[in-house]
Amino acid sequence: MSIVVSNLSYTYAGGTPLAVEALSGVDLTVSDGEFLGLIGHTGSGKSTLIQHLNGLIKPPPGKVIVDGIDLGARHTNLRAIRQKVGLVFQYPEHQVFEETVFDDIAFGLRNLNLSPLEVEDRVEEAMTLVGLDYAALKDRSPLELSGGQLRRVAIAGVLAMKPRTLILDEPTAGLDPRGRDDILGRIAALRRELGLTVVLVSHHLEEIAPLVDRLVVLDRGRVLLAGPPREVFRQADLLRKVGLDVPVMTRLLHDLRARGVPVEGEALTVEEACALLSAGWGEPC
Amino acid sequence: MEVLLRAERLTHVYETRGGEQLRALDCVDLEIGAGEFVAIVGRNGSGKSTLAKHFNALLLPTEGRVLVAGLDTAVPEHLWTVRQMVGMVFQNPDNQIVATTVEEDVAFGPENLGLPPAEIAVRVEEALQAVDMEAYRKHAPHHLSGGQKQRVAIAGVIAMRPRCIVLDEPTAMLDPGGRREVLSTIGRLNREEGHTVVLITHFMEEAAQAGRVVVMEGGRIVLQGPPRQVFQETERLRALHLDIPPVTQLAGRLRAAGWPVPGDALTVEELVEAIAGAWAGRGRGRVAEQGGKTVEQGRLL
Repeated sequence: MSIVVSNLSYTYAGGTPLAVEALSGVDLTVSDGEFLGLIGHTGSGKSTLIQHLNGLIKPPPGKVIVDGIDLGARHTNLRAIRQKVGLVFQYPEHQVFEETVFDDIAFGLRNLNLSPLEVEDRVEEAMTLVGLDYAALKDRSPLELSGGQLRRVAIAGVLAMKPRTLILDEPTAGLDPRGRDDILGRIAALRRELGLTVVLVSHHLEEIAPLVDRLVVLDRGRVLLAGPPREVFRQADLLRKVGLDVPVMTRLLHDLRARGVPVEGEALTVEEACALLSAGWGEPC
Repeated sequence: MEVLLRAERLTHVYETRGGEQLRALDCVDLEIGAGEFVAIVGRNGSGKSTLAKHFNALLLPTEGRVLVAGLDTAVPEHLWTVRQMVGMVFQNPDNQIVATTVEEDVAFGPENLGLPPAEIAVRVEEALQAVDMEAYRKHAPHHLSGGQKQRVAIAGVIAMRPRCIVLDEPTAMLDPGGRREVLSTIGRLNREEGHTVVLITHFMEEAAQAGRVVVMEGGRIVLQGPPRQVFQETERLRALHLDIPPVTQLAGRLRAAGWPVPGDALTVEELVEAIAGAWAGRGRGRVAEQGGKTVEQGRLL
């Protein structure tokens, strides 16, 4: 399922002295099955952009086309779009409110006219997908779960709607290192197994760079850079200027080259840095 | 060194909604000296935030006791002195802003101390300078970036002239630029202004900047020491759902493969220096030029 954004602008409080231009002429295509990373400093327009992608903010006609459907057209059924494009907000566990894990995950399904059996199947399937034990946890109160488990409950609630595209806003914020690895591993697996299109919003370049096909960098409501992570990270100085950074391994190799050490290419992970250093020196690592 | 914060056999028991007793802290002994920079790490639910909240009496011990500059936090008469000596900064900058301009926000604490206006003005100015936000004194806090808001929150704490600042995941919601700002501010306050700092974090590269890292698990301290030492415990940290900073990982792998670099390097600068130095040393040895490309013939020593 593809998403095409063309020349999209958005102003909060337009026509008042407090008007803030959040998006300014954004062009962006997310291809079917693509894993896209969206990065940018706080206030760069990331959240405003993703809310346009499932019609939470209704775009003007012709600006956002999802799976061939114009989200801005007058008669577009935005509820059907939201089912196709699942959005997981920042700190989604703050929105967990039902008495049991089951009810919370099933909440969105109530509007779909499914039989109770189908609802049960979908909840079980969604819980399995995010690595939650259905039998052990379905009747528990969400309040008894850990932070990482709660976040997975929130993601399961979106997956139960069987979206074709999954958009996640900072899914690892506040989790410990193992929790972060776990959530990111799940997301990569979902994309692989279900063929989902994934848009991942994050401040943590180290985490998302090795996962995504392409990075889009927003700055003050505009697309500043777009491309495969290694290409984007060649612009280290520009990224720093707009409040971002490059992964620490990329920076390390960059600094080594500046000191005359022969090491070619860009590294995103410790493994890659090891391999490139090893190749440059002719020594194992 | 004067001990500023002391936890003695500190135990804290929460009652869950189901009526279960949850031991969030289990007989913790910890001393933090005046002027120290201590990072507390541990997986979600390990007890780090619960511990931090005891240092300014937001929580009181179920058993054991906590002393701040010798004052028992459980004695009601000590409460305000303790809170003034130990300031807290939390994760979400938006929840900590109370006023409509930056300077009013920073003045909020000192005003509640009933200080004369001239004294408040001096403290606000000093605090804003300490976090490098003087230029924003008339700005509306909600228009600032996340990193700037956190620095204002830190200024609000500094204006109380505390002896210790406790920060509970202050960078969790910030972008990389904001994280850099906040961390360099914390480091400077510790080094140059002599503030004692307790930093709770999930980011090991942040913990690497502290003088001491305390690792918690299941409400107990399971490991502590200088970052170089703690981050050598790769397997142990992994079992605790933690990690070691990428630079230290790479340094360790290079060292294990026989490269002449320190295996406990903590910063990019340090490792770059070591590798570049080794390279230069090797260059003086056996280097052959072939068609403009440098080819190494010798083995690394």
